[in-house]
Amino acid sequence: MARKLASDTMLFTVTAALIGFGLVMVWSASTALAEEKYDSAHHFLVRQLVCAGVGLAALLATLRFDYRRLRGRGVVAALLLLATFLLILVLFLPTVNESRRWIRVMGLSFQPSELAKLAVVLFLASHIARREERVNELFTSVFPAFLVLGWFSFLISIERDIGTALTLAVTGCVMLTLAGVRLRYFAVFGAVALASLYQMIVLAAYRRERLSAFINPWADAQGSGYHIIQSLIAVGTGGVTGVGLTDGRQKLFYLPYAWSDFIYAVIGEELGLVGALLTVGAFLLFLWRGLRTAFRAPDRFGMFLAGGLTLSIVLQAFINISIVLGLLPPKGIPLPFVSAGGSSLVLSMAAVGVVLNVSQHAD
Amino acid sequence: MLNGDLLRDKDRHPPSAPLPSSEPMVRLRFMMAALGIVLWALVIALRLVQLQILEHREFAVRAQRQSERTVSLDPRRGPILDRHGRPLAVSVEVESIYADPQSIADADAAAAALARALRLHAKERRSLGAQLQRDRAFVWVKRKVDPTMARAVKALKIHGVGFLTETRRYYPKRELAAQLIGYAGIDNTGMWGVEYAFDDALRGHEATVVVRTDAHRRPVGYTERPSTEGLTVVLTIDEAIQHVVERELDRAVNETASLAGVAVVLDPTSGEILALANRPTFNPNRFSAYDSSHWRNRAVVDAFEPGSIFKIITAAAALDERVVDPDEVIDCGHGMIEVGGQVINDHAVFDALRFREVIARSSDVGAARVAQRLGRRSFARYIADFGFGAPTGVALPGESRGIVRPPERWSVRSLPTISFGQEIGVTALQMASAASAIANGGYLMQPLVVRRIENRDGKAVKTFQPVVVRRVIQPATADTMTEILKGVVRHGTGKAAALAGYQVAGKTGTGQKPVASGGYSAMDHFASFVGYVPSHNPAMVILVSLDTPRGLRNQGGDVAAPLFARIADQALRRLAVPPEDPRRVMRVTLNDSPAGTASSLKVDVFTRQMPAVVTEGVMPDLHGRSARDAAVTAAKHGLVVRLRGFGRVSQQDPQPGSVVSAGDTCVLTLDNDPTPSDFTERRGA
Repeated sequence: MARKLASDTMLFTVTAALIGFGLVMVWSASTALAEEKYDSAHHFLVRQLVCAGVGLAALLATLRFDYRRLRGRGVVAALLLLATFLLILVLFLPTVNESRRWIRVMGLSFQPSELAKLAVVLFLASHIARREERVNELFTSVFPAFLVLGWFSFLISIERDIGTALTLAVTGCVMLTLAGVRLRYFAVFGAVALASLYQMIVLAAYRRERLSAFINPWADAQGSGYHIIQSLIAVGTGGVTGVGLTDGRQKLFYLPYAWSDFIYAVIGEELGLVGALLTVGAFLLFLWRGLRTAFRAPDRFGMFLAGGLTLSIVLQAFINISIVLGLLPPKGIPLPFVSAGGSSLVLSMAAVGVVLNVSQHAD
Repeated sequence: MLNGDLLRDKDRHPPSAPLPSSEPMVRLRFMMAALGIVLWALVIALRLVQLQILEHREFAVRAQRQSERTVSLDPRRGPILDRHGRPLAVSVEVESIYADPQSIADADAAAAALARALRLHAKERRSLGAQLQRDRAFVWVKRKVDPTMARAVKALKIHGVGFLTETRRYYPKRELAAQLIGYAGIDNTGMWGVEYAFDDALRGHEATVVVRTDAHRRPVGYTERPSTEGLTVVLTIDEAIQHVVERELDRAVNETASLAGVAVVLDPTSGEILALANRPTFNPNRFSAYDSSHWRNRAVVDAFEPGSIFKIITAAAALDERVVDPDEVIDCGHGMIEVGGQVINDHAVFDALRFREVIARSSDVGAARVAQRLGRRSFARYIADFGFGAPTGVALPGESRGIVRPPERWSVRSLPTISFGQEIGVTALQMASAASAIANGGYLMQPLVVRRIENRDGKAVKTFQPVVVRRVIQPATADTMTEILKGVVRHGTGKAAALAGYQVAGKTGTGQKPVASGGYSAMDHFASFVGYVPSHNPAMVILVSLDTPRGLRNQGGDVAAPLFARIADQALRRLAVPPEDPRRVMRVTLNDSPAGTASSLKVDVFTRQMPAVVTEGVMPDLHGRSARDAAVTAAKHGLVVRLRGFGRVSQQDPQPGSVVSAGDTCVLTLDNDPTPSDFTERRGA
């Protein structure tokens, strides 16, 4: 064992810290709802603990084998097909919270879009590594990349999970940019994406309202602006040091999804500027260690795999935080590691396992 | 283990795909991406600073506003009692109707139904309709409603309409001492009179309950600050005497068709106001139904030209300065006097009068002559010493200081005219207070309206002791004044103020009303009388003044003196003051009220059939007997009974067994001295 190469302990530590912090915040944010709905103040905490356990297993599993095995066409294709199958399957399942995001099996729910995110990042890393100098060849390099990215963004967005779709699209585009794909190609993809986005926003009244509420939430404080305002009130109330852990009031059904998508608002209220900045700092630390791993990766695949996974997590975190702070229009996406939500936690931890795996092979 | 070795082996090999030449560019792009995200983090940090530091306060207020509801519960306002603990103002529970517009299904229908039940006007109904449309969790429908209306609204059973118990001020004696007691408004705040002056004590502290709610408006916790009930204010007013004063003033004002009238009864030894009444008056239970002039406490707020009653000040000053002797003959100049080229005419032609007759017959010229001997500085000093030109300091709102010009601004006419009460403005209370200083031997006392403030358990929180402002005249001067003023009633202008059995000292006054054009009205005047009784050791000073009485005989001596007499006669009995005249006895009979209290005694004064059988007898032992019992027994022996205190007899004079004859005075000291704390137990009854 002594000869085993060390993985990045700091990356692991910051991940573990965020997850532990998340457990505390989920517990604080969810007790009121848990007591009311499940007769147990610890309902969400227990679930999150179980998921963290499963996630740890996934992390250790993805850490164990040589990451280069993931590069094989067969593995990538299999994952893409599985994700496609599950994303299509979910469309035929009953809706949950007005959207079709979850597959429920025996009391457990699974969100295929989280798997799709990993699969796409893996595909892009593999694709970029394979194409190397030829990434700007239109039909062999650029077109397949955008095709896969567009396909999954489309599938996820028709589940009414625009947030995850956009996060995926942004992550993918960043990865392709890093690989050196010319910007004009993005213009085409962007045009298609915007056109479909416009179509969806105009067609769905609730999205249109959300967007206008983002622009001026106070115009309809009791209606469409309510969620944003409650989130801002929570954060603003926190002040510098917060009202104290568990003492927040906004989680008492003022905030939407206080334990998941808006958990950062609870952090801001209960732990104040200090807690909110430390959370941002933790993700920056995560970014640094993840990109450091990417830089030290022995090959292009490792570089883009570690970089892509790191970026997908940090970008999602910052998009979530920006939504909570009213800097971006509200979309339902979780704060990685922190928000309650099994699929997100397990697959994020699996992703960290992959990054740690790459870090073992550093030059 | 095996896996790890495998990895290491692979690592030793050169990379399968050597890093391409674009590597530095890729690294640069990675750095740019990282920089971009750091900038994003900076934006987030700035936004956090904006929300959590710069706008923290607004958001905190917003959070509080949406998650906290403060419910204020009015404290119960303390009662106002008379000196014997009889309630004059109390708080009673009434119901107030509120609505939660958010949970009212049909606001229009609800407004219509409520308006019908509450008999609202069209305007009130419209505003109620608007209130019920508001996006609020709480609006008042109507506060402090009659029980019948409350029942009618309850019968409607409208969802979202609720009831709260509040307290409302109730004045059980209606008009009694209305201007002095004042009134409290709908929110139980004292607005006038004692209610206003002692509002801090009466009000108490409101309870606040801060209820924290979740987004579904369900309470999740609360903090409470309990209320403290208002304190009890015990007045110096004696309800029984006040009642007499109200009734007699009413009668006099009606009989003379006066515009207004005031009456003040003071205890000259303590300065306590025993009664104070004003006409016109109002019912404080419906204070808003009256013109504000009815609320005015004229006796304290209004200054008037006192006229001849002010001669008691002139006389007292002249006697105290020894510039005149009571029996000295004053030249009354055939009813006129020339001052600074102008002639002052007296109301009658007097030639030469002894000074005591100047007062008894109320000669203006005589008073003016004496005032001239006094000089303006000296006279002005006495005027100020008697308390004129300065507030008395009585704890009632809006007190006037009167109108007294400093002597350096007096004209040549001022000295003589002030001497008979013109060119000077005084309040009825100032005048009564000044007369008290003569009655009590020379001390100006501060008028007191409140005896003490006590908590709910009847423990005194604050006691108001008599306050001597200053000594004004020598005791000998006061005695001489009393002799002179007795003459006024015995054979002078104030004969109508005489009482059987008591000697009255007093002075009439007919103060002409100034008119707007300057000078004085020939028709309109204040008819006044100020006096005290018994002349020796007076129990009370009474000032009465009628504003513009009508009729052929409407002078002070004609209308004010009899009013004085009627008030004094009944008030003396209420106070059980023994007659000064030995031929008269006080008969004490019983009422059917609880035993042993002074208020259950009916006191009557009548002339003993003289020279009836002078029964020489032996003084019985009255120790330990109840007041009424002892008084009745003593009265049967023909004794003049003088009671001190309450309860049972603890001392008696003469001692048992001594020889007494009818008409002798018998002093019975009861075991409860009339000290403040003794009234508390009686109030419980």
